[in-house]
Amino acid sequence: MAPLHFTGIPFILVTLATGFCFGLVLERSGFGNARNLAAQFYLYDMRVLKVMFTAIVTAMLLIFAAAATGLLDFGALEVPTTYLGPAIVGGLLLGVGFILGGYCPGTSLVSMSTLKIDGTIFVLGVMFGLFLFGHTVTEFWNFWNLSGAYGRWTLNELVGIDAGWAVLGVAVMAIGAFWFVERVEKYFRRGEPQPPLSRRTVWWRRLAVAGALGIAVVTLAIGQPTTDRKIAWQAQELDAQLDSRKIHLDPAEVLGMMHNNQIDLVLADMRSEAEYNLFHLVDAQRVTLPELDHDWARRLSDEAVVVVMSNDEQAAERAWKRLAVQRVNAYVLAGGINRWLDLYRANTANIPGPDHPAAGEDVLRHRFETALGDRVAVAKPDPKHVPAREFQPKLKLRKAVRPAGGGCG
Amino acid sequence: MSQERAASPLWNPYAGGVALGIVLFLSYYLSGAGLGGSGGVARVATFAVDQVASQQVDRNPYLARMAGGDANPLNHRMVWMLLGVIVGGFVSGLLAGRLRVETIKGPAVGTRLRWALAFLGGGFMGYGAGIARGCTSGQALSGGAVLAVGSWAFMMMVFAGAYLLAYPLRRLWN
Repeated sequence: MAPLHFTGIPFILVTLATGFCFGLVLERSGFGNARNLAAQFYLYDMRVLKVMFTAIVTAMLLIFAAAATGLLDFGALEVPTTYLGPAIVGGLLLGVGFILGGYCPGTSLVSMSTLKIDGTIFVLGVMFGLFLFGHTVTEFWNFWNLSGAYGRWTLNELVGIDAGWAVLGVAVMAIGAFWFVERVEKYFRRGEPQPPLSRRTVWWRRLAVAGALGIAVVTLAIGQPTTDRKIAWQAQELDAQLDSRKIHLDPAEVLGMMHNNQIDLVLADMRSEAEYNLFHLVDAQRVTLPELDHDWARRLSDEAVVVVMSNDEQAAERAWKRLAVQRVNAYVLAGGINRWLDLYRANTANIPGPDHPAAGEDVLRHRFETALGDRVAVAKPDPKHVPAREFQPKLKLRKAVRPAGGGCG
Repeated sequence: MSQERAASPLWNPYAGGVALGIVLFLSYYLSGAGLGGSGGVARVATFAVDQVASQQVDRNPYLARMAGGDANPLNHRMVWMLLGVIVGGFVSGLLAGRLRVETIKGPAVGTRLRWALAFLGGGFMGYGAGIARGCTSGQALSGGAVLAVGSWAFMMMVFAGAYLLAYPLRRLWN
């Protein structure tokens, strides 16, 4: 499933080609010329709004239609992180810069590449502005990083609806805006001769509107994929990963992680409340499957490592699949709570390593007379007081994917 | 004027928009991220500062993220995109006959003033793009297409800022 993950030279070539097309389309749309751009704000040529909104709607329709049909994993796309305060202040500054200078950073590059002197000077100005920003941002560091910081947040989540509705809404709004700006242009161009639209143009416009609304409605009807649909699409890869036992961690490895304060470790206990109350690991949270589907994973940090556990492995593996399709760095406690207690409570000899699956039917084999919770030494044994154990380490930390911050993308 | 007439006409804005939207979709489809303009410029600027005042870069939390220690600020996706944009714009301008050394300005503004204002406007843009973590390409366009709340707020504010100032400064462009 896309996005495709290119690395090395192919990655560079793909990025260069993308940039090439970007520059070419901007130039052909007239964005290398400041007068075409500034005309937007004097209402006689609304080219900027038309190109921009058409591009947004086109890309949006393709992205969400592809996500609904399983061609593209929306969760893997880099959605700009929302910082409302900085977005508002920065946006206003960009608006001011636009009227003064006539370009934005992307279009000024195109202007420079077609040898325009003003565009070249504008690029130098952008560099100077970014340089100045870099040296003054420390004065308002908290505002820049914390004001209205909502993380990955989309319009449909803001309203609380399926993304399909937001897609349809934006498409309808854009079509309304086009209709409106055509009228405005006509009004501000009065006095100039205005040839009537050719029949072909009218036909094309109707076709485009119908096509856009059609794609939006179909996308809405299919709906954005639920966790179950994502699991069904990726069933083979997920089962292969489970069978390879690459994501099953030995109890001793998990114990080491519990004592390692450099790891953002989240322990997710999938058992019933009764069993959780009898015994659970220190800091383990009891989580249910519906909670995992809802927005439990959203609250995790980018670096978080989640270890899911059940009495044996079945419930934990079910939960692991739901986390894996949400791109969480998740692992299963090999052998579950039973093997943990065999090892640290009963001190059983010859406990198999993490590559050995647990056979049981997810029933707690150990007996507790009272509900101890985690108020018992085996809930987090002191590594110095447990027998040394050989195991194959499996944990792989992910490099946090963060927006670069400052400047585009 | 005769030269200008020789240049091939601009695309219909809606057609240009569809083309731009397809490029943006392909960017997301192929590399999981959108388009960008100022990110590459920021890195080139940081690279320049790093050459003359490396220690200053290392001490600044914003610049150090791009070029702290041995990190090369140019080793980033956005720099390749910047190169692509420049080449793409150049080739398109060449083929369309719009490649010309000139200064684009409103009729009532002198060339010197236009240059000064271009630098000033660029400065506002650069500073604003730093604060907003992106410009019209990376925030408004790319973020708008994936329905990011912050990107839509940003886009509205860009238009608001420009329209607020457009009338008082109408002499610049008309």
